[in-house]
Amino acid sequence: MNAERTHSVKLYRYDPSSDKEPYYEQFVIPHQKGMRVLDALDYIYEQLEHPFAYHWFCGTKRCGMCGVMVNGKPSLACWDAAQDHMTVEPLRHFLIVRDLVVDFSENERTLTELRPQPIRKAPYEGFPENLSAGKMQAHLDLMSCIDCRLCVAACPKTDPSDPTYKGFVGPYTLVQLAKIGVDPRYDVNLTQSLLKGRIQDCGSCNDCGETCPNQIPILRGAVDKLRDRLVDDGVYKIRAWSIIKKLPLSVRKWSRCKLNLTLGERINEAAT
Amino acid sequence: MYAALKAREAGVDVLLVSKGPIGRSGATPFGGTLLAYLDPKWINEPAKMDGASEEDYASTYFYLADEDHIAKTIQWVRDHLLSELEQMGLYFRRQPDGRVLFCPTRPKHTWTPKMGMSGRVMADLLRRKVLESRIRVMEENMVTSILTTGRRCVGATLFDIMNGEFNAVRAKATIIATGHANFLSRRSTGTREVCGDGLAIPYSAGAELYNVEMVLWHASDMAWPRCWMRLHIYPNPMPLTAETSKIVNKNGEVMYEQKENLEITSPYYLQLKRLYENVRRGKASFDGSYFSDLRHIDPHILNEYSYQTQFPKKVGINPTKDMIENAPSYHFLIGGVWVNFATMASSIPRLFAAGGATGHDGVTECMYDAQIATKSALAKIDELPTPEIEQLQIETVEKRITKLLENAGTEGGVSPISLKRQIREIMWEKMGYVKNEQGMNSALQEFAEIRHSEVPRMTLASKTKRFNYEIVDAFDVYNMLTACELQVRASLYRKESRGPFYREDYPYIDNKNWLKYIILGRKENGEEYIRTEQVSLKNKKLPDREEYLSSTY
Repeated sequence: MNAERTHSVKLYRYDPSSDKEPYYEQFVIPHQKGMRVLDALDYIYEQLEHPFAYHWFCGTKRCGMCGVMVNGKPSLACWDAAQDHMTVEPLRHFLIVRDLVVDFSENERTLTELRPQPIRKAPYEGFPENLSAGKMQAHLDLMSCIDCRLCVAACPKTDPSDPTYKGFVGPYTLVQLAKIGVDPRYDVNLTQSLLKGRIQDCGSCNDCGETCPNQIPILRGAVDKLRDRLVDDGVYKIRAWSIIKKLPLSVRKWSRCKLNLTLGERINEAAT
Repeated sequence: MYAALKAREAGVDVLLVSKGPIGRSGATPFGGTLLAYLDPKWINEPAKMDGASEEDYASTYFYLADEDHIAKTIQWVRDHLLSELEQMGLYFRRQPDGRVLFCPTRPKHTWTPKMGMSGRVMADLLRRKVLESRIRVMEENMVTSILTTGRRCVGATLFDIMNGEFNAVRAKATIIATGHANFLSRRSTGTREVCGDGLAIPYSAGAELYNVEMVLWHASDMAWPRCWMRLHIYPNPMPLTAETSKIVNKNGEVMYEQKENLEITSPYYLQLKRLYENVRRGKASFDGSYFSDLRHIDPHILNEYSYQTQFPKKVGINPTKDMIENAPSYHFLIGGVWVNFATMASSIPRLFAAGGATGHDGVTECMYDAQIATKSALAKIDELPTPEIEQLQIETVEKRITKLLENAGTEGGVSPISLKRQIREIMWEKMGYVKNEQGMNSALQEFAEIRHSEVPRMTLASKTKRFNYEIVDAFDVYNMLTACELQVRASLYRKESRGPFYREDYPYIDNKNWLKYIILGRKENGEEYIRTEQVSLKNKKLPDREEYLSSTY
């Protein structure tokens, strides 16, 4: 342990059952080699014996349960380095249970409701089925999602307190739907799920993909592929979609978020 | 989850209770590899490539396992499970040529999608199936006791971590599937929530336990950062290469390389022996100062097929150029609830156990147990009356929670987390890989001291019921003390060394006297006992006695 270096941690505290409003506590803790945000939280809880509510299970980027906001940005506590000065708050856009613990259950219920039962294109003929790595690549790209929902916290369109929020399910749910949508083994009609989940509210800013701790290409690998399906099925009309989707992500982000240009999505009600 | 799905398929009303979120907690997400026992014809390889046999696997359990059970597991996984999982939607990673991903020197392994990630993906698939099948799920609910009537399991009491509610559940049959990697030592692979519950709770209800002294250690987990102590740098064969990692001491000398020992199915205890030899010579330490070396492995394989190698990169270590500092971590037990391996029935009627809770290893193997346990649990279940539960048992546990909350915030107490820390320190110092009678007796004394002097003073800081993890910590303390004490008692009882179990005062494998399960139990009057059962091996004749450190098991 490096005795000279310390970390200043400002910790969000809030118990909705007893506190009128959130407050913060400040701690200065010693640095540990390679220290993660989770190590800092563990130190406060275990070594300083200062109990607060925080979530984690695996400590190694598998359970996806330790997401928090660090200095205003979504962060997976077991993955990201502890900063010298950090304010740690609960993952935004979710209901706060207590302190840093948020409730994913509503998000989970939505996914279970929206996710249709996939149907095999051809009867299963036994292990190992005839699959090519190439055909499965799009599915493989999404397989490392650990359900941490940092992408939901990063998404500017999933804030339930925003007056313009219309119920967009957010990038996590779209990734989960895309997983079956891009799987060549299945035939699945996602139209109703995508429209109900308001895919049209996605602003293509790619904040989700930039935040993903497993570098899942959320915009191109999931959202755009779902849009492709809607366009192909005639459900969805987007101006110059074949050109727009090939633009660099930075250009799409700039045009969409800075200039507030929309894709001009129109839903063809007749086709739904 | 698999047991719940099988029971649901049979039309039974199922309640799945999990201390963490299902599929995202416990040991399963750590399953790095799927033990698939690939049929050579599936991968277009000569038949001689098949590397899994009953004998092979008995050695994984240091011959303290049931050979029939192992044989049936291997057959079931190969003949049934792989196709069931693929049909359910699991993508067994393919090579560019379309063949299932495998290792040329050990074709019983496969991966989905990467080495180090397979259990997580499998668990996610099962989680999705459970949620879609409308099984009633109580996640983040801690089982605080097993309820019995006349030594028969009739249900359990539960504590809801999220909202602090206490519940009791009546059940005609109960299956324990708590997994096996417990966070019982300073460095452990167990997740936050697994603190010996799956051992202590059934034991306290009267179930027998076995092999609890057989703790497997990882020798090659990341030394730092702290929360990555569970991050295993696999010594096992990697996908698509004959190369394996090298474990290197601080002088740069190779201590262990699995590719030189391919006949050994589980490299962990050989790694430990080599580590111990190097520690004795001052060339490594149990706190670090030795390394995993992956520099000779094709970078494409590391990047494409290993989940683990991104971790060192994140802290500035390039695995293709630098070595990764390691330290040992307490891993899991090759033991747990003692069951009839043909039925997975415990010694308490209507209580069954499966997978890691019974000491079995591997995600796919655990699923074999789960379906056997389910079949046994459902046999004639319709004919069973709804069980009565004794109110007194429920009240006893509820009072414990009430008292903890009532006393919260009082001065002069001791926090549950400080006791958990103390227990883990004792386990690390006195119940590490190298053990002796003196150290273990001292551990028992220290546990007794905590139980009698500290536990009564245990005080929570807050009275809140919302995600008050201190209440969980307090129950963890009770469970950890029981689980750890049992482990010490069984370790003192076994007067030999074997596999990862090393007693420096008995540095030999004694098959003549100790090819036995050590079984611990409690009589109805609370009196504790230890008994043994001989292991019968049909496929292997072992020498009566071997020097431990030079042996291969």
